[in-house]
Amino acid sequence: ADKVTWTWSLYGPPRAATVTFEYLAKVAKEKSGGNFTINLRYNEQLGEAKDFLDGIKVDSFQGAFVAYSYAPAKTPLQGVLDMPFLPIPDLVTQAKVLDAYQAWKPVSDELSKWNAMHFMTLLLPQYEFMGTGKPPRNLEDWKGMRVRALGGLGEAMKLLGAVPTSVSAPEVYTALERGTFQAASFPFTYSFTAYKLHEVSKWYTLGMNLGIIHNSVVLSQTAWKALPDEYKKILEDARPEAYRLQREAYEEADKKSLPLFEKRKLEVIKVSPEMRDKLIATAGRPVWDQWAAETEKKGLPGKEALEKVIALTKQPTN
Amino acid sequence: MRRADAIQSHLEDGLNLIAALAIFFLMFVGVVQIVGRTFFDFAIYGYIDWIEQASVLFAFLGIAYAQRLGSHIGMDLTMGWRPSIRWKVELFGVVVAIGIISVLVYASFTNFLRAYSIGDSTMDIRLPTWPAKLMVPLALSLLWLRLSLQIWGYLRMIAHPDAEPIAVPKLVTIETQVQDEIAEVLGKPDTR
Amino acid sequence: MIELSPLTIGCIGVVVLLALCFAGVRFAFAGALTGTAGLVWLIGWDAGIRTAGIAPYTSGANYTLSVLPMFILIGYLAYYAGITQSAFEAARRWFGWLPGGLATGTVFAVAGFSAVSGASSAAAAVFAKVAIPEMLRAKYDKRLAAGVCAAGATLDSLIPPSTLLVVYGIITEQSIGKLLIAGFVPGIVSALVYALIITWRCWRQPELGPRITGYSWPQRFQSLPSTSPIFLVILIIFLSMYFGWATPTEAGALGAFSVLVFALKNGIKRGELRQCLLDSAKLTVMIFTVIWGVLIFVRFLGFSGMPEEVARWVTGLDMPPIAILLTIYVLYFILGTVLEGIGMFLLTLPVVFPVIMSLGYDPIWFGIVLVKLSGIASLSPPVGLVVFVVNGVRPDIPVRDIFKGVWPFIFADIITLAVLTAFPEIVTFIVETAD
Ligand code: NA
Ligand code: NA
Repeated sequence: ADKVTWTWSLYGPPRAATVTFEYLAKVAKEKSGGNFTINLRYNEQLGEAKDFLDGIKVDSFQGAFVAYSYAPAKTPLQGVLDMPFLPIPDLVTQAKVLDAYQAWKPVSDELSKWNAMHFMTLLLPQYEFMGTGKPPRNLEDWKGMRVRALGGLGEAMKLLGAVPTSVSAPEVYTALERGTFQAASFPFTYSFTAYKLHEVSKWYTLGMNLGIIHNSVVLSQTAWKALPDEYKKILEDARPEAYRLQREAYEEADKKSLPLFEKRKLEVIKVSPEMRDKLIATAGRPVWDQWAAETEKKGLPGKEALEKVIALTKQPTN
Repeated sequence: MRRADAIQSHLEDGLNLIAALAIFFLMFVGVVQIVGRTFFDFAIYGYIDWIEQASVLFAFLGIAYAQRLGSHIGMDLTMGWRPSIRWKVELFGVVVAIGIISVLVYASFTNFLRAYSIGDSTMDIRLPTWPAKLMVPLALSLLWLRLSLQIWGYLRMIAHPDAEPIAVPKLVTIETQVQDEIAEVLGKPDTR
Repeated sequence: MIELSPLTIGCIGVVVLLALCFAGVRFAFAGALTGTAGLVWLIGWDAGIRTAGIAPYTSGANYTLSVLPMFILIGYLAYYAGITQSAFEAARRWFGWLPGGLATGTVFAVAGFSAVSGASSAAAAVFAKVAIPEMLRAKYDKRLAAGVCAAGATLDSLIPPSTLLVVYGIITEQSIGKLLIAGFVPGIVSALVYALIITWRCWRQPELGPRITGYSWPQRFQSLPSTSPIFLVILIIFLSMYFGWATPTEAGALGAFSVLVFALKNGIKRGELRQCLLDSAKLTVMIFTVIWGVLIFVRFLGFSGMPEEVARWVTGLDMPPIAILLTIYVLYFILGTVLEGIGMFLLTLPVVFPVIMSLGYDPIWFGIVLVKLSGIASLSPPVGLVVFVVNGVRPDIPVRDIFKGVWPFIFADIITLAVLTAFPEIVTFIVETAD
C-alpha cells in the first residue's frame, strides 16, 4: 500500500475537544497497517490558530482544527453558526445542523477559496455565563453588568443592557476575580474548570444556551484528492465513532466539573424555556437579522444562510 | 551613493519617528481605556483589535533605521579584531541578511495578497488586516535597500581600507556599543 | 531526499543557526534564514517559503506583545523622573553604617529602581553613574563598587516590570500577570543574598568597604519623601491590577504614563523626551525583529517535531529529574558565557521548555530560574553586557577588574538558584496566593 504522511495543526493542548483528532489519527494508522500516518501538532506549533486557513492554502499542513471566528472575514458565511441563542438543544442536533450547513454550496465554495474542505464538526457544548456579584435572576439584572463576551454574543448582551468587554482568555481569571467584569461566557462546563473560573465565581447560568463558537476538522483539498481511496474510506468510516467519543468526553468533563461547582456552593440560575423565548426575541433575533443584513450588503446570501440554519434546526433528528 | 544614503536615511528617520509616536499614542490609549472603563463604564470599541493592528507600526517601521545604526541584536564576538577583517565579517552578515530578506519580501507579500484577495479580518470588530499585512513587505523592502547600500559600503571599505566610511554603521567596538547603551539611558552628552 | 529523523533535521538546524550567530550574523536574520531553509527542506519550496512569510506579521500584530514598548519606555523615562538619585541617597542614609553599607545600599536602591524599570542595561548605566563615584569617595574597593552596580542591575529583569519575563511569557504561553508577580519575591531574595555576601566580605576585610556613620534618624526619614515616585508608580501599577481596573497589558501603559508625569514634573526637556521616544522605538523594533526572525526558526522546529522528541528522549532517561535539571543549568552557564537575555531565551526555549514541562516542573517557576540564569550570563566573561555598560560609564575601571568584582555576586546568584530550586514555593507560593 502507499505510504502517506499527513500533518495536522491544532490549537491548544490535548483536551476533550481534540479527542476527534486523536481518534482519527489512531484509526488511520491501525486500519492502513501503519502506512497512513497523521502527525498531530498541538499548541499552535505550526502557526497561530487565526492563520490555519492560510496554512492549508499554502500547503503547510494537510489538516487543521479551524476556529472560524478567529478571522471572521476569511469565511464570512460561517458567521451565522456563531449567532447567539440559536435553537440547537444538544450535541446530536449540533452535528447534524452544522454538517448539513457546511455541505451547502455557497459555504463550501468559501472554504474552496482557501483550498480547504469541511471534514467534520468539532462539537462544542453551549456557552453559559459564570460570574460574581448579583446573580442575574431576571433579564433586567443584566443591565449595566460588565461581561466578557465576544462577537455576536457580545452584540446580544449589549441588547440586554450589559457592557461587553474583550479580554484575552488567559487574562479572564484575574479580571473576573478583580472585578474588571462580573461574568464570563464559555462552553459549559469544561472551559469553566479549565480556566478555574468556578474558584472565583458565585453563580452560573444553566439552560441559557447562549450559542457556540464553532470549529471544524478542515482538510486540504489537494491532500484529500491525492489520498488513496482506501484511506479516504478509513477516515470517512471513522466519523460516527469520532462524534460519539466527543460527546462522551464532554459528559466525562461534566461529571468532574459539576461536583466542583456544587462544592463551591455556586448558585444555579436556571433559565426557563419561557425566558429563553424572551431572550431570543430581545437579544437573539435582532442580532441574527443584523448579521443577515450586513452579510447581504457584502453581496453574500446572508438571509438565505440564516433561514437555512433555522430550517435545519427544525428538522427532526433521526 | 552618498546622496542615496542621505535620502534613505531621511526616510528611515521619518518612519522611526512614526513608530515612536505610535508608542506614545498607545500609552495614552491604554490610560483612556482604563480610566474610561473604571469610572465611566466606557470601553474603547474593539480596543484589542485596534492595538493589534497599530502594533505593526512599531514592530516594523523602524527596522531599516535600526539596521543603519547596526543595532539589531547579535553576538559581536569579533569586536577586538582588526578593521580589515571585520569589514569582511560584517559584509558576510549583511549578505546573509539580504538573501533571506529578499525571500521574505516576496513571502510576506503573498501573505498580504491572500488577505487582500480572499479576505481576512481581526476577531472582534472585523477590521481588515491587509493594510497592516502590507506594511511588512514595505518595511522589509526598505530594509533590503539599506542592506544593499551597506554591501556597497563594505565592499568599498575592503577595496579602499583608508577611505572614509560611507553608508556603513561605525564599526561596533566594545566602547562604541557601550557608549550607545549609555547615551540611550543617560542622554547624549550634547543634549544634556 | 535522504530520509532523516526529525531529531536529526532539527539538530542540524540548531547547529547551523548557532554557527551563523557566531559568524556575526544578527540573530533575527540567522533565525529567519535557518528556519526558512529548514521549512523548505521539510515541506517543499513554495510551501516552505510562504509558511515563513506568515510569521512576521503574526508576531507584529500581537496584543500581548504590545506591552513591550510600554516597559521599554518606562525604563528610558525613569532616569529623567529623578528616581535613581533619590533612591540611592535614601539607601546610603539607611544602610551606610553596615560593613560595605554603601554597596548594600546600592543593591537596595537598584531593587527599588527595578520596580519601575524594565531592562538591566538601563539600571547598570544609571547606577554606575550615580553610585560608583560615591563609593570611591568613601574609599571603597573599586572592584566591589563596579561589581555591585553590574550585579545589582541584573535584579531589574527579575523585579517587575521586566521585558525578559514578558518575552518568556509570550514564548511559553504563560500568564504575564503571574510571571510578573512571581518575580517579586525572588528579586528580594537575590538582593538579600547580595547584601549578606557584601556584609560578610566587608566584615572580614573592612578595607573593601568602610562603614559610613553619622546619619541621625531624622535625616534618614527626611530622605524618604523624595523616593515617593517609586512607591507611587508601584502602587499605581499594583492597585490598578488588584482592583481590576487594568489587565497586566494595560497596566504597562498606566505605568509608563505615571513615570512620564514624574519626568515632566522633574523638568524633562522636549529634546530629551523626543530622544526617549526614538530610542524606545529603536529598541522595540530590535526586539520585535529578533522575535519574528527566531519564530520562523521555531516554526521549522515545530514541523520537524524535534522539541517533542527531545522531551520524550530526556524523560525516558534513567535519571532523576533533578539531575537533568542541574545538567540544564550547567548548559546555560556554558551558553551564558557568550549568550544572554532575549536572544538566549528565544534560541533555547523551544527545545528546553517542553523538556522542563515533561519533567513536571512549574512553568512560572522555571521562568524565574531562567531570568536568574540569564542574569549570571550577563555577568560572566567573555561577553557580559552589563559589565561592559558599567565599564563604559567608568572607562577608568578595566573590564577585567569588573569581571573580578562580580565573581562574589555570581557565587551569590548560584546560592539563590540553589535556594529557588530547593524551595520552589518561594516562587509558586505567591502566585497561588495571588490566584
Ligand atoms: Na524591573
Ligand atoms: Na556572559
